[in-house]
Amino acid sequence: MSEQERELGVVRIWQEDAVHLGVVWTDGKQSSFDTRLLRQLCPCAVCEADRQAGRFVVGDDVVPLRVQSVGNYAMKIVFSDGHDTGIFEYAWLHERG
Amino acid sequence: MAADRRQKAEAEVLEALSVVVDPDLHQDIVSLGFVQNLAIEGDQVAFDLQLTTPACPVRDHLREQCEQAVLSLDWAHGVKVTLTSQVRGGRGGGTDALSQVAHLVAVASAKGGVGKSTTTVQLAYALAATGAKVGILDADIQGPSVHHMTSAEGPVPSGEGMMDPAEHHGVKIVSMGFFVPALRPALLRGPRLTAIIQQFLTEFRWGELDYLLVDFPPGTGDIQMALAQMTSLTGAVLVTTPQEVALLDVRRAVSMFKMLKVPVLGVVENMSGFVCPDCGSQHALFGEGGGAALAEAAGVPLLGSVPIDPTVRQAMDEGQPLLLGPHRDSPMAQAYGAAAAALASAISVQQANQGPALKSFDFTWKEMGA
Repeated sequence: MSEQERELGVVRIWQEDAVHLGVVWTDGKQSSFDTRLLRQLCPCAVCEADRQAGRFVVGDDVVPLRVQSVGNYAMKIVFSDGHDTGIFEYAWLHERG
Repeated sequence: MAADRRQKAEAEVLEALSVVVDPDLHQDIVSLGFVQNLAIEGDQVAFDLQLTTPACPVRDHLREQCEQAVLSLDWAHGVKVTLTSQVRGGRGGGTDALSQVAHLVAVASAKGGVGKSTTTVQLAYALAATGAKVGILDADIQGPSVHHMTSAEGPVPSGEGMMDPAEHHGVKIVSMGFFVPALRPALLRGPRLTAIIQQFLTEFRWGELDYLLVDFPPGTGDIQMALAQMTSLTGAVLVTTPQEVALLDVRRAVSMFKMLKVPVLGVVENMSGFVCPDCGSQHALFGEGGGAALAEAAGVPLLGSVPIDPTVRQAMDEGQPLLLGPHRDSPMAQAYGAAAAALASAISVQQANQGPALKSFDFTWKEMGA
């Protein structure tokens, strides 16, 4: 295990203001995510299909209700429009944060 | 003045002990915080050595080294080391029912028939025999076997509220086998399976456990995904046999755990040889070195190679913890015992390397002015 590089993880996560989510990663990087943008980029299959069909519409007043870890590799955000199937992988977030 | 002297003596003892290094964690026992409750009376020194697992394979070796280190001080003429253990870990993560579980460990194989459930059960008993608090979650909903292999009495479903797991030789057990009649197949589709796993994780009083071993169903499907998403697994043990085809399957399991960011802690190879009941010699029925080759290919340690012995196997299938029964000195029992100790070490090392990452989080968003 020792030669294996440490997996990317979350050291600290918190709500910064009305819309921003702050994350400190295990490699020391700090990110600030606009949750409205995260909703727009939702990677779930339904949103993906809607985007491809050109019918993806999300209001810009959508806010998170709850933020939860998913296993060791991702987080899930429950949004105020009832959408909660998007699983945001740490690697994906870390790259964009 | 007396206080000064005591402080000086304590500092000397700690300095002497700082030459003792934990061979797994590669760090000295003082800076690891293992030395606790240090008490010095005249020329007598006493302290607790708090290890990261009661299953520590080098505990006696460490104790001897500590004794020697302290007695090397010219004023110390007696030393008493008490071995204790505190399994360090976060929480099972995800659910409240798992909040006091230090380590959730998947026991998995990519295909059936390699002795995965047997391995889960024997590893659990072997860990429990060292004094650890252990549970088994049989996640093979459609083909449960742990209930049978342990001859445990099932919990009585109360219909509402939390349930207690069954308990057998001190090991807590939850298996679908307790709830469906043996001959009725569990015909269930994906969403129902996921819901049952969720119930196992949230509606049983697992209580305080050092290790909860999760017997994964074979393959890479709904249940495996659900477990990896609903919990924070410390790591996975892969079970295989020496045959090449089994190795191919395990490689698939390795990549699944990699994608889910669950560290593979090591490999246990079953049927690594056949112990002849007549002459006692071992024969490599399925070839040799498969487990070692797999471990090397996956870059993970081989935790153990377990031979098969027909007489012992029968006792095991009847639910006997090998290390607690008449077969405790058999090659099989010894091999499972060694594999359990190696697993406990691998978990301690994994824990030390993991750093400050959160195991899980869950918070509600508050309304705030932008």
